[in-house]
Formats: sequence, C-alpha cells, structure tokens
Amino acid sequence: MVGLTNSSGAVVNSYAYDPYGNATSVSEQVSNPFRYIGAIWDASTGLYKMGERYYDPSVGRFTQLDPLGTGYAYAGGDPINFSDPSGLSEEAGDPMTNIGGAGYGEGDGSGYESGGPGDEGATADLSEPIPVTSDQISFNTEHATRGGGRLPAGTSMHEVESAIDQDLTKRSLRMNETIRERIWVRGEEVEYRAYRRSPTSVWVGTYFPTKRK
Amino acid sequence: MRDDGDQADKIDDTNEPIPVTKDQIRFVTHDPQPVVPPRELNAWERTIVDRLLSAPFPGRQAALGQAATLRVDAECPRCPSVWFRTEAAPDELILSGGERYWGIAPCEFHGRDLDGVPYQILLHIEDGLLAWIDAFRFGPEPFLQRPDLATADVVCA
Repeated sequence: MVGLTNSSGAVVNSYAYDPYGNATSVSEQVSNPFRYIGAIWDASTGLYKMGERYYDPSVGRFTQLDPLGTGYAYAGGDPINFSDPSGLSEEAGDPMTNIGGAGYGEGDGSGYESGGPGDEGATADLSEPIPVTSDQISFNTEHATRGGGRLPAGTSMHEVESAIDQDLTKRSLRMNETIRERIWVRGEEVEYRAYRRSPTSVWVGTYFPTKRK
Repeated sequence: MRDDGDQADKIDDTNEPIPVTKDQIRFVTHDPQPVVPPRELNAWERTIVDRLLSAPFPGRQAALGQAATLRVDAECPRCPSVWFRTEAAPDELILSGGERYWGIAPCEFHGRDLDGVPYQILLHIEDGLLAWIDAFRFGPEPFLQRPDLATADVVCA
C-alpha cells in the first residue's frame, strides 16, 4: 500500500518503501495498520505480519520457517520481482506498486478505501484516464476475514481469530468431528466452523458475524 | 513441523476427544481476485443462490430481489468461492430492530470432496446485501473437484 484516500478521493496517507519493505517515507493523517504490499505493520516490533508469518524488513527475511519448513527467505530472495503477502510462497508482480482504486471491500463503513496517489517514478500523463487492470487492484482488508468476507467496523480479523483460538482451546474434538459455534467479540456475535482433521490439526473453515434477530 | 493432516482416515479405534491446543488451529484462507468486468453467475453459482435462499427467513424477499441482479466481481483461484456486486440500488435485508442483516442464508450445502475431506458452501449476507458464496474445504488444499450439488446435502436452519 502506497496511499490511502478518503471517500472524496483526497490522499490522506502516503508511504514509500525500499525493495525490502523498509519505509523510506510515511505521511499519515489517519491511523492505518496496512503497509508494504498490504501487510500489517507492527511498530512495536518493527515486523510485518504477512499471512502465516512475520517478516523483518531490516534483514529481508521471515522470522519463522515457512509452513513447509523449507526456509526463512522472503519472496525467494528477489523482492524486486516477487512478493509474498501470504507468507507461503513468492508471487510474481511488482511489490512496489500495490496501488489501485476502489476494489473488493469498498464501502466497509470505515470511510476510507485502499488506493494510492500513483506509482512512484512513473512518468504517466496524469490528465489521461488509465485503464484499470486486475493486477492494479488491491483490497481494503481492514475489516476483512481471512476467508474473504467482511467484519463490522470496530472488529478486526486479529481480534476475531484470537477469540476463536480462546474458544477452541477450551474444547476437545474427536477425529473428523465438525463443530459450529458462536462467540462474542466486541459486542458482535461471530459464528465459526471447525473440524478436527488429524490429531495435530483443527481447521477453522470459515467465520462470520451474525445479526439475525 | 507443521502437520497439514491428510489423516482423515486414521481414526483411533476409541476416537476419544482430543483437547484442542493453539498450535493445532489453522484457518482456511481465500484469496479473492477481481473479475474485470464483473460477469454473470454461471449455472452452478445460480443454483447455489437459488437453493440456499429457498427457505423462509427475515428479508428473504429483498434477498431474492438482489439475487436477480447479482454479478460476480471477484473469484478464488483455488476454490469455487465468488464475491458479488448487485446492480443498481437494491432493497437491503433489514432486521426487525432496524439493523441490516449480517450472516448467512438459512440453508447451506455440506459434502465431501473426492478424498473424503468435508466441505461446506454458505451464502453470506453482509450489511444487508448478498455478498459472496463461501465454498471451503477443511484443509489447505484446493478442491479436487467442483462440488457436485446433486449429491451434496442441503442443510437448513
């Protein structure tokens, strides 16, 4: 993410990074946790949360092994040409141009959309409309679930998943047992579905807010 | 070493409940990719919407009105999930207390993929609008085949 606009289209936040995601400039008028390639920035640790893992831009490596146990390298060691927002594998594409207009997640009630003031260094004619292609579009994930759904304003994926963790770890599940449970997070009722797939893995298939009075 | 656990067939004879610990918990992740321009629903997606809205629930009439103008504006490359937009300004699903409906349609599909791993298909309603078809397997792998709706169970609340 290189910029944030308000509902009028005015730029309120802007960011620039080196190829490894170290911020080279930050200008913020509103609080925003999303930074380099849309990862969540933790200022207290200096790490980005990228899906499954934490990434340290100061050394250009993840802090944990990938889920397959094959390494710590970020984007295959080539952040110019690849990115790895999920922490699972590198993806082709320019990680420096994570910009775009309104995309999925538009109108989430926050009043802000993901988007950017422009691709730094580009020499486009600013007066001409530029066709939107799918690779230019980024999503506002401030109130998104990991599954691609939305959460009400005021709740976050991290909070909901922590609450699910807490609820699940009070339980015991038989092999192949599926459960459907509801919990409360910041006054919002959230339903989740989980399944014990092996003695060492329990999969949460989905979770979502419910208001069905 | 992470265990993604393709061990669904290895059931202990006693199948006693196993305490859930934090390191066992995994979350299924989708990765919606935009569809430009938005497209019509295909027959499989239309069947899901129609079947999952077939039971009565508060706001069903508004949901049926929205369903008629749905377009797919994002889809998942590793699963059959799709995300919607509605044409024009649809009637929203409003609850008796005046709040917009959040949740899922009252019916859902349940089934098992070719390898026996269970899947579910839900129709999500967010902030009063039909939002997306959530088709997920309980595991990290992509679907081995698009779920056969003719053989899946329809479960209604």
